[in-house]
Amino acid sequence: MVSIETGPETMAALAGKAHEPAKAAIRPGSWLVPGEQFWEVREPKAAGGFSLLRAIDDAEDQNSRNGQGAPPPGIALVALPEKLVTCQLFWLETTDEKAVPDLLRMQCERRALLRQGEVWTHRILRCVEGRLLVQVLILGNAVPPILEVEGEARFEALARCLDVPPHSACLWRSLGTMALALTGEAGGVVYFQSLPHQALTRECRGDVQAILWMALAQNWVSALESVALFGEWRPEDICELETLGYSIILKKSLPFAMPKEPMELVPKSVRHLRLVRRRQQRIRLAAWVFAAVYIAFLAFQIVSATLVSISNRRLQARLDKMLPTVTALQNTARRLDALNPALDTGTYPMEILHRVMASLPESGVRLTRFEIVNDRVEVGGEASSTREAFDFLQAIQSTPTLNHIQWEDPPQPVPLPNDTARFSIRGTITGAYHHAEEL
Amino acid sequence: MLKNFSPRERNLALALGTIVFLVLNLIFMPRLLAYTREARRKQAELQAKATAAKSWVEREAYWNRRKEWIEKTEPAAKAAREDSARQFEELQALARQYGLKIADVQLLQLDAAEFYHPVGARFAVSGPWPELVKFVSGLQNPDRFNVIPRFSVKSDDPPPNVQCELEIHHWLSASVEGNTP
Repeated sequence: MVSIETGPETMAALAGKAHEPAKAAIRPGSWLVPGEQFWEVREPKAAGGFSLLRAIDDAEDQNSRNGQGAPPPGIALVALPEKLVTCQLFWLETTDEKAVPDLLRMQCERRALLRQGEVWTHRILRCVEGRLLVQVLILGNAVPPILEVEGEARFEALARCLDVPPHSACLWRSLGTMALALTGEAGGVVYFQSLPHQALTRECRGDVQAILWMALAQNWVSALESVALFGEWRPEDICELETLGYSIILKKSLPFAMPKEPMELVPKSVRHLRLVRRRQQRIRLAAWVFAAVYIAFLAFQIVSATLVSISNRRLQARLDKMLPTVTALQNTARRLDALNPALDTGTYPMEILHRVMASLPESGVRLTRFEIVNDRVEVGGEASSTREAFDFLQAIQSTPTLNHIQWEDPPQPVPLPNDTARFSIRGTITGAYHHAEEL
Repeated sequence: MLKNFSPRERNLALALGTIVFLVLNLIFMPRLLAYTREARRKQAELQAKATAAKSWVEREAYWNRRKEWIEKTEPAAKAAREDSARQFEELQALARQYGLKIADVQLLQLDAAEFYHPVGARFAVSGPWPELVKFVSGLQNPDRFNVIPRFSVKSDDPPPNVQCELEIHHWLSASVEGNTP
């Protein structure tokens, strides 16, 4: 059993810390637990036990949080009070654990224990002679705003977060009412219930006794040896309980302990909040991604435009530097181009005539006319036959040394009365400069 | 700041921000993209020009050699004009030397071009073909700056006599006139 703060410290915390600003330093790993009167934020100590960080008055909390009653940040575990969680025990005539959820749902619906949207979970406590004792915890739909912890907090019933002695009935005060829990052999809480009493009166004692008898009669617990009281109790309260016939154990504070097996009882509103938060986070992430992509695109465009502009300025400067030289060289080229008819020997009429005559066969063809007007060339002659005239025209057109003349398709040689043929061909001198470089 | 707004105010602020963002994008983004596109187009154009200019500069020595040769060889306009009559007389003397007859001599008035001032004549020459070949071949040479834009040869009797009509232009340097290219 772990010892924690005593009652006076709790009262001191209520007196001194309850009105501190809500943004008190609450580190991750804190527990939000229902105290005797107020909600408490507790933190595990390294040496064991839990220290009280803050006690939260609902009214104060609502005032400090603009009336929204939001939970403090950094909560890792929320202990749900017994008045919010209903504990039911069922003996099921089966040993098939897979069938348990369906059987439980049927049992709960038949007894009208489960309402629309309520969260519930179960745990198999023990198996006796082909029957299963199953604990069902049902969390109501209405939870106070202070429990709407959006972070990854774990929700547990408070009774499951206590380290209590085996075979005992435990009593403590929780948010102004009393709570009762029954423990089994290993100290695990088998059953708990909120009692509608402010103090340990005779009626309360009667209710406790009825619950204990029912637990023993239903074989929820095999035996009960003691009654453990947590918190500050009056002597007459203890005397009242002693009439039950069990030994009394007194502890000044609740012995908190993390339950070994998680039994999530996340309220519906918290599930909704988490869903909304996740959706908001996704939207925010998408917005950030869009913003990042947009900024990257914008930056790329701006940087790209800037770099290209700088590059253009450099290129323009280089061109401006080369411009006089290039202009002079281009003028020289233009001048050579203009002077080409005087410089290019390939365009000299006598040279062209010489190349045409080089294609003449040894006999059978003679030229009768050769004319050049500007860049137009015309060759005429006679051949001893149409065939030879045709061959000569073909030879002219395919002569490599005359490839700078674009020959037109020649007209068919004209047969003459003396079995000879007259031919002519026209062409245009093209291709300046191909001889100029040979200067 | 948005945390202090009510949900309605927050939604309105977000809607307003979105509209402003879209309007600014509609106004400025096309301009930015057009500017970038134009800059890239200009860059490609300048790069092409730079490549072309570089190829010209790389062959600077080649073109300068040709320019020097032209400036050294091209006949000066002023001196040539003064001697043009004498040069045509020499041409006639050359024809007589080859046994050719020159007829229908006509001196031409030709318009100046950008890079040269042409002076020319048109005439008919007749005689044996081999002699005509030697005569005409002697007229044209790269360093003489003579152009024969009109040349017509017809066979004549008796062979190998030919009749030739030709027009010869003598291109003189234009630099004297002050329009040096």
